[in-house]
Amino acid sequence: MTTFNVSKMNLPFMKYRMAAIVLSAALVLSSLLLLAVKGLNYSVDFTGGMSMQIEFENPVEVAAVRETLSGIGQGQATIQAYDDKNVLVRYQGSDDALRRQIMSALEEGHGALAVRQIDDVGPVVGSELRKQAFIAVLVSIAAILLYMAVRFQPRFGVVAVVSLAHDAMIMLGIYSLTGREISTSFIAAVLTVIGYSLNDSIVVLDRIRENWPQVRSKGILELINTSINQTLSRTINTALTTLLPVLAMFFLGGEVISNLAFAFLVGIVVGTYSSIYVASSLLAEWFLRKPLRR
Amino acid sequence: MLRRDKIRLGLIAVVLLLTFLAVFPIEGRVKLGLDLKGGAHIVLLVKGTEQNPVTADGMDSQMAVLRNRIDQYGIVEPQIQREGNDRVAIDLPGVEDPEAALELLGRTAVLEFRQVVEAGPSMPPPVERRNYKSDEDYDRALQNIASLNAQTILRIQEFEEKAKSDDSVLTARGEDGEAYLLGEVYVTGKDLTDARPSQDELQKPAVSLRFNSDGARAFEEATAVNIEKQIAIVLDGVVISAPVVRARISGGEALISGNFTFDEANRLSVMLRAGNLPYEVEVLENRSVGPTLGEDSIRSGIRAGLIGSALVVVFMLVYYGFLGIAADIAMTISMLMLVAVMIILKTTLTLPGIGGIILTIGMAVDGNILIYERMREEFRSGKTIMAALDSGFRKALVVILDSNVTTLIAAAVLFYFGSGPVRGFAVTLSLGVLTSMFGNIIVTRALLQIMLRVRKNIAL
Repeated sequence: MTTFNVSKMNLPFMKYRMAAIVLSAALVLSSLLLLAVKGLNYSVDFTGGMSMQIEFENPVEVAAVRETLSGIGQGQATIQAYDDKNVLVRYQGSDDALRRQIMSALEEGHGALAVRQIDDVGPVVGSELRKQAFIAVLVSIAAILLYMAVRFQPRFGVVAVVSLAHDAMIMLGIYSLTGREISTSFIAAVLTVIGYSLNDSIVVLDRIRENWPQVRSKGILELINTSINQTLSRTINTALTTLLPVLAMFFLGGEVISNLAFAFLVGIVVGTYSSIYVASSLLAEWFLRKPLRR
Repeated sequence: MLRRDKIRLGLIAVVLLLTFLAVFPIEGRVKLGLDLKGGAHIVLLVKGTEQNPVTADGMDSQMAVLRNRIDQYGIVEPQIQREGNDRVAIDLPGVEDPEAALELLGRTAVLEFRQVVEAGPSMPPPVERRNYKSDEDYDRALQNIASLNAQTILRIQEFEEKAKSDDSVLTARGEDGEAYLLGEVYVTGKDLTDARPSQDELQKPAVSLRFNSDGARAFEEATAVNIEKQIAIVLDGVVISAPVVRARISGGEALISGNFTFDEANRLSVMLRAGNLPYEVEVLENRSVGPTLGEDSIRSGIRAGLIGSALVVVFMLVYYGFLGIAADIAMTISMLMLVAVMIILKTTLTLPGIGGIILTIGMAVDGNILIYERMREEFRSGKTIMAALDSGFRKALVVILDSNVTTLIAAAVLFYFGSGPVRGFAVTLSLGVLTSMFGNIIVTRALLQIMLRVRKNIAL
């Protein structure tokens, strides 16, 4: 069979490990900076408040809708267009009178409309969901660290978790940059990406573990390099087969699924890079500074 | 054929048969979440007071009244669940007007007929420009309202002073803000045997009431002493109407006509029939999805899923050729199994769950890729094709297990901490991981054993 065969390649990944570490550090730092300066666009899941998806019978402009809402003193409401007729309106406060006022103002200004979706989250529930999301991320990282420590050497577990944290930070950074909404589904996507990226790291780390007996003869750098190359075609193919359906979701899945797909998309790209480079580069540097006997 | 292969093939046949039985015909078999079929998810906080603290018994009757109201309102398959000590989570499938649902659940619905000791001026309906011929008329109407408002505020202050010194009276306001000083309670909602939507003499929506014998007697006495005076009909502390009694009314029937629409009259009768809630409630969370949005999501989800799987199928065929066929068959089987398991376990499919399934399509072939890459390596190092198959599977198995366990860990955490849609995602993701492992390890193995025996001289 004549197919493109990556397995025969021997790319010098480890030669550029410092560049990779610097790049990753830069990405993580800029993400942190973005988070500190620009922050995240939390959905009502976390902030509490009201979010309504409204479908107008006739096409409307976001600017016009904003003007209408400013007219009744709701200028600070967030307005987002899904398409020319569907608009998402989000504002703080959830009393009924305000909602009716907004609905009648919109109806008056832009003609017939239908509410397709309402998310009305009280401040209590918002803060509970925030807490739950935080705990969920911590617990899953702890559980994964534990599993890795049992199945691999602790050092492998540490580098794997560092690369996960790296993925999660960059995802948050990109969400901050693009201003996309952080909802409970985003947390689901982050945890899934963590699972996926770890899956990738495990394949590489497992190969390093398998090749470990040659560490004396080959040296750590070449050992890791060989391991990455041996698993490279798998890493790339799996990334591709996962990306294909995710791209289909992103372009064709409709608003909510498309949002979820965007998180997967970012996560898979970052996760694939980090499992090839971040975990193994860290492992190499660590070993070079403080060799591991085994 | 080896005994092992026979066992594998038998197992696959049984699983396939069960899968087909469970999945086809698929119409109506998958349980859809509220975000897909439309409906309202409402979480209520039950608020006690110092005199009336929330107790376990009280919560039971609160739930019973809520359930009663929902049933009487005609909602099919509602779910009413207690969460913690003082919360009630309610799922109302197919509700198109969440506002109406909130009205139905959120009101305590304490009904009282009370003596009107004094009343402020009555208020006209809200003034709108289009009802007036000229700007002068409109301005005059506005001024009139303003002066009535000022009078009402004075009366309210006056009534509140009186209520302070006299415990038997209290102030209340009407729906348009009128001031009332109310006295003795004559009859309450507890004395009702029935309440139905009906019409008053002007054909306007109204609610007709029927009292039990105690209520009927009390009502008759009340009307007897109040001829040519007002009696206030008070709902949750608001005077909804205060008709003037023209004659003594016996027979135990009464009509409430306020500013209702037909829907409101219907809701009010449901609430009065079901009884009042022991405690006030506050809406903590309300998530409603219209039915059309769900249909759109399902349609675009299915389209994305089909196109996604087609792309994966083509990729595997192009890259792995002959081996790709086995992977594609295994992937199709594990996807069907996923749907079957969801149907059998009656798990709820949510919108993020559809995302989880589509993601699983890509991850399902990951196992095949791991196995095939290993097989190629083994084959290249000089093993025969059957030996390569054997050791490829054996070596890849550990990695497949390790990597899937981590996904399962993430999914388990999501299930534990998530709610509603996110939980649905966690369930589909973990079931997808399990069925695709079956596809990778059992189905692919069996297919390859057979295919490689048929075409022995193949290269990997």
